[in-house]
Order: sequence, then structure tokens, then C-alpha cells
Amino acid sequence: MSSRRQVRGDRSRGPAAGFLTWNRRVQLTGLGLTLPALVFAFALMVYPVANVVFLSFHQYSPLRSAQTTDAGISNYAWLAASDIVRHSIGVTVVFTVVSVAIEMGVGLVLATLLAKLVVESRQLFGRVLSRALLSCFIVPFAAPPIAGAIAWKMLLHPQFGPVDAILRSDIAWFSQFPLASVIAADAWKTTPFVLFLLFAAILSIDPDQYEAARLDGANGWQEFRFLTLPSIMPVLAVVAAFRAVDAFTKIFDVVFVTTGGGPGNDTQVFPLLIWRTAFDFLNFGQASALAVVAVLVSAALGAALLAVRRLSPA
Amino acid sequence: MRLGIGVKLLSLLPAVALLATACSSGATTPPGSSGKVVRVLAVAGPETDALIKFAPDFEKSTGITASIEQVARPLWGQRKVRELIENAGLYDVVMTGGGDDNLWVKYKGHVKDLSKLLSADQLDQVILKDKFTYNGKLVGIPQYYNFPMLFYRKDLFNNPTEQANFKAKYGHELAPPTSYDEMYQIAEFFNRPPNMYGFFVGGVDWSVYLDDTYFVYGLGGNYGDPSSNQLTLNSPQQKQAMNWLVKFSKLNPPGWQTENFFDGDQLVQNGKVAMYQNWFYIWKTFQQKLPDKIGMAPLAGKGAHLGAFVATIPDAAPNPGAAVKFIQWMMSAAYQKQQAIETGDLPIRKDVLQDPEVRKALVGIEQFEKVLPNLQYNQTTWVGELSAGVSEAIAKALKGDLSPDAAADWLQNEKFKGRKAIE
Repeated sequence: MSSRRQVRGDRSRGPAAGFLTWNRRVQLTGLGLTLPALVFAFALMVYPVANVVFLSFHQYSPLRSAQTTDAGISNYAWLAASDIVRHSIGVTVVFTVVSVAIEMGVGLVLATLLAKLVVESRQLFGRVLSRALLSCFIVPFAAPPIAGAIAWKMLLHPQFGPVDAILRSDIAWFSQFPLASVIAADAWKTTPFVLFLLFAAILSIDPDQYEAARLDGANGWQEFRFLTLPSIMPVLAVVAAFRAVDAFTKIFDVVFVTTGGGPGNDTQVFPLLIWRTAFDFLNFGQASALAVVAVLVSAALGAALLAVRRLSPA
Repeated sequence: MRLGIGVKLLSLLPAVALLATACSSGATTPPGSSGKVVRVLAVAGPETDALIKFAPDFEKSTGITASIEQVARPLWGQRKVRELIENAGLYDVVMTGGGDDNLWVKYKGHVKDLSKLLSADQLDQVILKDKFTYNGKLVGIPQYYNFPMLFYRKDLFNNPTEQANFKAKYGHELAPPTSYDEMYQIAEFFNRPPNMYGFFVGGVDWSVYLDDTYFVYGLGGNYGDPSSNQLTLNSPQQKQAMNWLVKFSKLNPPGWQTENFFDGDQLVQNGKVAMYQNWFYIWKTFQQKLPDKIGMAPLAGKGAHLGAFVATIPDAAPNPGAAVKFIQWMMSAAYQKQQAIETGDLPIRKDVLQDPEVRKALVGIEQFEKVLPNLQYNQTTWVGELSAGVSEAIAKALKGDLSPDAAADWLQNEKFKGRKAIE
């Protein structure tokens, strides 16, 4: 280490050396290059999070008072005692568990079938079909969330929707089965994300392993159970954790457009409650406490899923 | 080639500039930098579109550039509070909501007294000026007036067979209702599922709250009483309103619980709903698309919800002089006439209301004039939170968890226990 410093020190005494040493110039250049990123990270990540934590211990409700006053833990005491908060967390947990389970299950099945089609299709038709299917699956993911939600609202409309027309029924899906309908709309939107990640993971498995498995007499199910699944398990766990965190903290658009959190509070998911508390009620102290809880719950969810992955045999 | 540290840092300038641009406000002109710009905070919608459309007239006559910022409603709620309570000082004119913001603007808003800035001649023309006056201080000038009306299937009401059948069943003529009992009879009569339903109430929280206001104001009630500073959420009128809402909701088409009045517009246009209460913004559309099918009448109740954007000048406005000129233009006869014809909203000026061209353009203006004196606004300073609570109580009543009367009591004695009308 000291010799390396010495070498650089020697260079700093060369003809190009000015009033700054080489080390100092390297440090300044490094600082200059990273400064924008640091400013960006501080302005857009560190400061907002710190401010939310700060506000969660304060009373800041401008329609009551323009002053921000110390509130101790009263915002947390409120949310611990609030029926609405408890209900909202319950709804969001059910939503997260069911939607992530559907997305992972359907995504895994579709990824496996698509990978099989891609690997085994030697004919032009097979190759074209697999690419066409892949292109189709990207559409829901690429569609703007609000547009997708509006499309679902139209599809399931009891008077004008094609789904009820085909079923010859007048089921008000978003009123009679609100959470299930919201989950369906969300799963449609996010399953392609899971599908593509798992598809890439499956394609990265060495084909020789499949050939060896077949030589050992493994059937399709056994290949999947004992080769594909263990090989992609790390990716599966990370994707599930990512989706769980995402579902818990970011489910908003679909609910906002389709049910507005109703009927009553039946689909009032946690992000919607935070949004309402902040922007409808203008109670930023309570909203911040809710946001801190959302971050903690999602962090716990993600950590739990990754811990399960670490504990399970690969 | 080796670059010096200065050159290297210089190369970062575009990135820093980009970051600075991203962090700056989206305004086209920096506030306070010039007396030739007036910055207006408004919310997206046809009325703001009209302001923007005709603003070149203002710019031409005054030489002041109008920077009218249209924001989404959630953002609007936060920004107007920042301007009028926290003195952010970014805007010269802040548009507030006449029906829901009026009380907090009066009691808490740091706004200029427009009665001292506008001429008596101009102010004399303003209809319902007193609605925006508190202790002699004029806190804002409305841009237009809009309020809920009753829309019904005129073709069915005029059908001789329907008329005869209705009279035989209820003992009086089939006509636009003048009481809630009559309105319920008509809704019940035309409730013929699955082809047509008698009534429509929007079930989404903000929409069902608005339906609640139609009944509460119609029955002569309100949500608070500023004189005693008490909430009036379980007053007899509130309980009756809750009961009527629950009764009428049973005559709604399936799925109404997650729909709002915009969905109601579609249902009425498609012949699925016989009658509903809604803001008269939709009247122009009905006139254009279904002139022979849809009729309009005042609500069956006594009062109606005041709808208007109200222009205020914050105490911290960077260019109050330009703001005054903007409001003078907005309330001018020329603009009020253009706006009425463009949007179908009522003008705020007495003289423009009598203008033959305006009266010709606003079909049914006589009906509007009957409602104008009866406009009401929410008598609390925290409508956002209150309206969410009201819709929560309505949901409990609709689900049968509580009776409508008990839901009103729950609202007053549990949900908002200890809260005041003005906080």
C-alpha cells in the first residue's frame, strides 16, 4: 500500500504536477464525478425518506394549523388503534399474497412452456409462434397502468361490458367481487414481468443437463421438478420478494380507477389510504406514519421471503 | 490527451443543469421575475380550458402574460393550502372550490380583500357576492356558477301510456318531482331491471358524498354550524338524507357501488337509468346528443350544492397588481359571455345573465335561475376528511351494519367525536 502511494506520489512530482498532488487530483476528480449522483440520491431519496420519518413524529395538518408541532408517538398510537388502518393492512396483505401467488404460478407455467417451445422449435413456425407469444405477453406490462385499469373496468362493466355479455349475466364484478376483480386486473398487468424474468432464468440452464436427465429416464414433470425448479429457485425467490414488496407498497392505480377503494372500504389498500390521508385529508403527520409502516412491512415481507430462500435447500 | 480538472468538471455542467431543471418548478416563467406575468393556479377541467382559450384577449389588452397552470385535483388540494395558508408565494391568483373550500378560505385563508381592489361598478354586477364575504372582507370572485339539477327521461314522462299508468298507481300526474316522496315514486315506477333502473347514485366515496350533499342541502341541513362551531352530522336533516340515499340506492343498476356520476352520465345516455341528480355540466351533452329524450328540472329539495371556481389573491402573491387585472378580465362582461357560451356554465354577472345571446345559448336558463338563490356550501373547514367519513357512514348503512339513523349518530358521536366545524 505504501509503495503504491509512493509511486503515485512520485508521479505527482513529475513535470505535469501543478499546485495539486496527484492523489488530491484523483480525489477531486472522483468527487466531481460522483457529486451529481450524490446530490441526486440525497435530493430524491435520502431527504424525502428522512423528512417522512421526521413528519411521522409531528403534527402537520395545514387546514388545522400552519405550524408543524411535535407529536411524539401520537401518530403511531393513532394508527395502532385505528380500525381503518387495521382493515386496510389486512386487505393489502390478502391482495399481496393472492396476487403474488397467482403471478408466480401463472408466470412460472407460462415461462416453462415458452422456454420449451423456444428450445425445441426447430421449424420456422415454432420459432415465429414463440416470438409472437412473447410479444403478446409484453403488452399488458407495457400498457400504462391507468389505461389497463380502465380497460378492465370496461371489460367487467355489468351493463356494457363484454364479459357479462358473453356470460349472459349482469354480475357487477367490481362491486360483488371487488378484491378478486382487482387482483385479476393486477395479475394481468404484472404476470408478464414475472414471466420474462423466469423465462430468461430457464433459458440460462445448460441444455446438457436436460439431455443428461433424459438419458437417465426423467420425464417432463421430473425435469421440471428436479432440474428446472431448483435451478431457477434463486431467481424465483428474488422475483417473488420483489413482487411482494411492489404489490404491498405500490398497488394504487388499479384500485383507484376500478373501485376507488370501495364498495365502502372493501378494497382500500394501504397506498390508497396513505394517499387519502395525505392529499384528501391533508394530514401529513399521520400519512407519514402510515408510509413508514408501509416501508417496514414491505421490508419485512421481502426479508422473510429471502430468508425462506436461504433456509431452503437449493 | 489529458484533460485538466477544470475541463472535467465543466463536462459535468450539462448534468448539473439537467438536475437543476428537473428540480425547478414546472412554471413557464419564474414567479416575481417580471410584472408582466400573472401566475394562476387552477385545476384541470373545461372551465380552466375556457380561461386558457380566451386568455390571449387578456394578454392583448393588458400586456400581461397569463401563465395558467392546470393541475390534477389531488395536487390542487395541497397547493392551494400551501399558497393560502402557508404563504408559499408562487401564484398571483389561486382558484379555490366554491362548495368545499369556501369556509376555510374565509376563516383561515391569507387572502386579499377584493372589495378594496375592485371597483364598486364591477362588484355590483356579481351574483351571490355575499357567499364569498366574511366580516365585510370579499375573499374571492367566482369564475362561473354550476350546481346539481335533476335529469330525467323526458320521452317517458311525456308518453301517454306511462302517464296514465303512473296516475293510476300513484294518484297524481307524472311530472318532474317537487318532493323526495314524489321522486321516489317516479324512480320506483320506472325501475324495470334489467332494461332500465329507476335512479342512479354514484357509490364511489367522493361521488356518494356529493349525492349526500344534494339530499342534506335539499332538506335544509348542513354538516356544521359555524355560529356554535359544532358539527351537525346527526341532525334530523342528516338522518333523513341518509335514509333517502339508502332507499334510492336500491333502485340503482348493479355495480353502482364502484361507480361515480360520470358513469351515471353514460347509463342515462344509454337508456339504462330513468332519472338522476348531477351537475349541469352534462346538460350541454344531453342537449346535443339526446335533445328529445332527456329533460332537466331543479332538484326536488330546497337547496343545491354551490359549484364554482373562486379566484382569490394570496397575501403573498408576487404580482398582486397583475392578479387584480386578471380577475377584472375574468369577471368582465365580455369574458363571462364567451365562457357561458363555451362551457354552458352560468355567468356570475347580472347583466350577462340577461344577455339575449347567453339566454339563447343556455337552454333551460330559467330553471337555473330558480336554483341560484338556494346554493349552499359545506359549513366545515375540513371537507376532505369529513366527506370520507360521511361516505364511510353511508357504506355502513348500505351494507346494513347500521341503520341510517345509527350511521348518522356514529358519525357525530364516534367517528368525529370532539371535532369542530371550524378547526
